[in-house]
Amino acid sequence: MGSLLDYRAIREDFPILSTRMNGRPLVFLDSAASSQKPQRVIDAFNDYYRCRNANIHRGAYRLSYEATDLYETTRRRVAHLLNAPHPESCVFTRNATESINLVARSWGEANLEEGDEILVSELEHHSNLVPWFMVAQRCGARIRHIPLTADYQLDLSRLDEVINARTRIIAVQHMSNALGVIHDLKRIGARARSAGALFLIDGAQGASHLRVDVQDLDCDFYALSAHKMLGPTGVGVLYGKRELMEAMPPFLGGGDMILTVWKDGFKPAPLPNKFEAGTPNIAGVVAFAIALDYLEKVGLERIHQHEAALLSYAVEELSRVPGLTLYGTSDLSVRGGVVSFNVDGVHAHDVGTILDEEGIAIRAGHHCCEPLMRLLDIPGTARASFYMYNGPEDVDALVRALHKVRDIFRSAVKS
Amino acid sequence: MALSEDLYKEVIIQHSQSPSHRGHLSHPSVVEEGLNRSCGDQVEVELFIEAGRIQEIRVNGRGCSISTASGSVMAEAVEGMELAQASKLIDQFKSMIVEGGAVEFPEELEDLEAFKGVQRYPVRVKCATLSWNALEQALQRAAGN
Repeated sequence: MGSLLDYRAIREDFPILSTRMNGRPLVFLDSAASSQKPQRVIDAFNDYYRCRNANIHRGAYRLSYEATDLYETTRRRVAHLLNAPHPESCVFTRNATESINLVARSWGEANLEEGDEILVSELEHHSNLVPWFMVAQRCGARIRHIPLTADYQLDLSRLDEVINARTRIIAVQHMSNALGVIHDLKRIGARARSAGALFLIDGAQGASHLRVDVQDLDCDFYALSAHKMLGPTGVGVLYGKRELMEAMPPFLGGGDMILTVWKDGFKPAPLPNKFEAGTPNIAGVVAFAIALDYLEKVGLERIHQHEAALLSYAVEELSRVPGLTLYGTSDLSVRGGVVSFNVDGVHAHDVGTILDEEGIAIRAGHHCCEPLMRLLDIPGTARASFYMYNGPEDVDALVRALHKVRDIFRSAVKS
Repeated sequence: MALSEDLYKEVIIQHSQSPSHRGHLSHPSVVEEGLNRSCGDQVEVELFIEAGRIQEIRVNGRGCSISTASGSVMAEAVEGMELAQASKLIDQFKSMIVEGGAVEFPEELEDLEAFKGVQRYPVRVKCATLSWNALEQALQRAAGN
């Protein structure tokens, strides 16, 4: 396969990729769960603790000013990445899950009433379902779903069936972590606008692989996790339109999120501090800026094109393995670098264990998308997901190992 | 020893492909469900207990080869057993899988030894113990009734 990226050179920047697993070179095909980190991100994390550690927004000394400056630099970098007009409306959370919980709890509890509707899709990750279930229970709201087509895409021709005057928010993922489908967000967003509903995008699988422009998407909220974008765990971002975020009540209370506290009450701080109670993951946020630099240097368009080429190669090669069922839309132009599959007669966990012996790391299970698995009537899938550091030889290793899976379970596999 | 030889023994593959004691009892004394939260594997154990023995057992559910085979072998082993004997067997099996305990099973239960290798694969321990935990809870519930 031709490649736009020099993925071999990129691999050199990721120390873990030259380690061995079960006596074999590691083939890492689970970046949809969490990406690996380049050395410079690991260094930034360590350097922060070694040379720059101080709490932010508090200290009247130089080290604290510098830590604050680094932290706020990341915020500006995030705003730049998302093309967010106001950096202060990009708030740091622990992960995309917490970002969605923030919206569900803060905006949802303040605005949803009995009979209101929340629209999600049949593909959603639990993190974009459970927070809505929780707020719906409290407020008496109802959850509805955008159905899937037979080809695993969101059936947007049926949007009018699931949107009505009671629809208050549409919360949809950017890209499916289970099947890799990339959704037509502009069309969904436009429909949300015309219905007078808000539009939230769960970008956990989007921001790491696709160029995101929140103004072009015209979304009200965009949630992401740093750890899927070469950054550290424990750092997430919620972008929200400034006027919405300003009107929302605080999510968590505590230090740094206040303007004034009296004996019997408080006044919240302006954005972004209102939503950043307590000491955050400063080292993680600081190192995230280095991850964003790396992403921008490689280029999200090129990353996406590289993954598209890998996906196409993988689908072609995996289609030749007898007894393999591939899930996901056949239209590869709307798919990211995710291949979900099952080997006939073999549970995905057994596939995962045998691949592990070959040094190949994939994800096996329901991928935190149990409603989707029930819809497909399968307990789970094996999932290989690609990133900028994967190449066709990783797909070849996967295919070789799948033949071994078939050999071990030979009598159960229909050729 | 390669994992495939250590973990995926012939007896495990066979039991996973044709598990025994499937179906339902007409009048179970106790029914207990087991769920592996991390992967969604699920099992349901039905017991008909009379005169201090597991007279009949059925094990249904869906899961990987390790959990399916383990449920099948377990059902074959404990059907007809006295309750105390079954409880002891649960302890022995779990000790073998979880702690790597040296357990010698009688000849008629030698299929259980096929699971010895699971101890080396911590992520699969939950698969192998899923049915056994459900059986243990079923016996505790039966004792409480």
